[in-house]
Amino acid sequence: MELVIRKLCKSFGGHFVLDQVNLHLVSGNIYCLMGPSGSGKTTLFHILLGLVSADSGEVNGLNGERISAVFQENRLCEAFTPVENVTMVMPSSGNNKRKAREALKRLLPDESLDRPAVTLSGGMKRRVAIIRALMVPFDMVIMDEPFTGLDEETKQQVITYIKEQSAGRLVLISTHQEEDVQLLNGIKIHL
Amino acid sequence: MNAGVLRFKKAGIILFWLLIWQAASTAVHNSIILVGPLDVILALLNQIRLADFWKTIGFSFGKISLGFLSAFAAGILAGGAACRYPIIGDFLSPLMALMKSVPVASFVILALIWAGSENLSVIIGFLVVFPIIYIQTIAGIKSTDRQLLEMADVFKMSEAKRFFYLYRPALLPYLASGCRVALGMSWKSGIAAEVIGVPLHSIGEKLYLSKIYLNTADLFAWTLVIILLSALLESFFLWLLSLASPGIRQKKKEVG
Repeated sequence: MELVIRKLCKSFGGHFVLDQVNLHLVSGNIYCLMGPSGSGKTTLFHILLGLVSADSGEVNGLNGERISAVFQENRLCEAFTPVENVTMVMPSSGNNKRKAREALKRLLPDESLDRPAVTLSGGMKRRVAIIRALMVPFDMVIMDEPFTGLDEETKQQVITYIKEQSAGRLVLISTHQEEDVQLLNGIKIHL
Repeated sequence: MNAGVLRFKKAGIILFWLLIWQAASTAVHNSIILVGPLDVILALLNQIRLADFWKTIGFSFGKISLGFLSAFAAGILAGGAACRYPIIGDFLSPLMALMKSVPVASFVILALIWAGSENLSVIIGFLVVFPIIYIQTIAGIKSTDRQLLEMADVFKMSEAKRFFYLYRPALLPYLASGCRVALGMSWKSGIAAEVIGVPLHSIGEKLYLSKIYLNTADLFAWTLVIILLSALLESFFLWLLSLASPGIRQKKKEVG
């Protein structure tokens, strides 16, 4: 997959959040989008996800491609368990529960898997959101500050998991931390 | 304050008011104007032994429940349709305004002319409950988290999954609060309709006869029956709704 963004612009109330953004992204790489708060990272992600339309510019390469996402907010269904939160987005299949449980066990304690998400800590919820994004079939995954609320050890585990599950696909991650680029073996891009 | 003390306090308060009631009836000393709680219990015990009592309860309970349940189903369907297709909401809007503002007594008389007294409480129960459930359904659906709906779009969740995981949890609290109001209203309006239409073997008919024969003890006894039946239906229906709430299995596990 090849994603080409040309001269992308988006403004809110006359203020340009994205101004002539150009990017060229290719499958098999992890791109780390760097930039201060308010630089338009989330807006760019929302345009790519089809949640917001751009004022002008072009986005090529998304036709028919499957995009998955970790939102800036976890966006979990809080009354449901981590297993249910993962299976609800997976295409229907007989062994979704088993697959979801196995994936969740890698990053979460066993006892947390059957509790409503509302009872989980912020870091646990973040991990559920990351696993959910990686358990659906995808060609590209967008992750908006996925390491928020994770301690260093957990972050390492999550990075290993992301690299393993997204191999060969296009990964676009926003982060504030320079060290994340090295940990992810990523390519740094600035907005 | 622990549960035992609370229960004791509650029972004490009820006993206090029963004593006040008994004292007032003794002071009035006129069984037409005011009967005491003991007279009411005696009147109720006299009724309970009769087959007609249970037949009457069955008739009114069945009719009012039918009116409520059909309005509940129709209100959810119409509310859901109005959210999905706003044009349906536009068309239903004047009808809802009419149903909310027209006095129940006018509906009762119209229903008597159009359908007779047999199914009067079904029709009136329906007309009273339908707008409440319709409005609550729309409010519940509109309260669904917009960010979760965006998440569902991104992950291309099916309509069935959206309903089950996103709309249902948002809708149920609104339906539960609507039901609390609607159930009480359906009983009050249903019985009022029966008093006006006097269908045979209905609680309304019994209330009407109590009035004719100035039998205040029976009037109070039947009122007590209505309160109990209304509370019973409300508890049962809210319990049914709670079964549809997400997380019920987890709650049970935690309790177990």
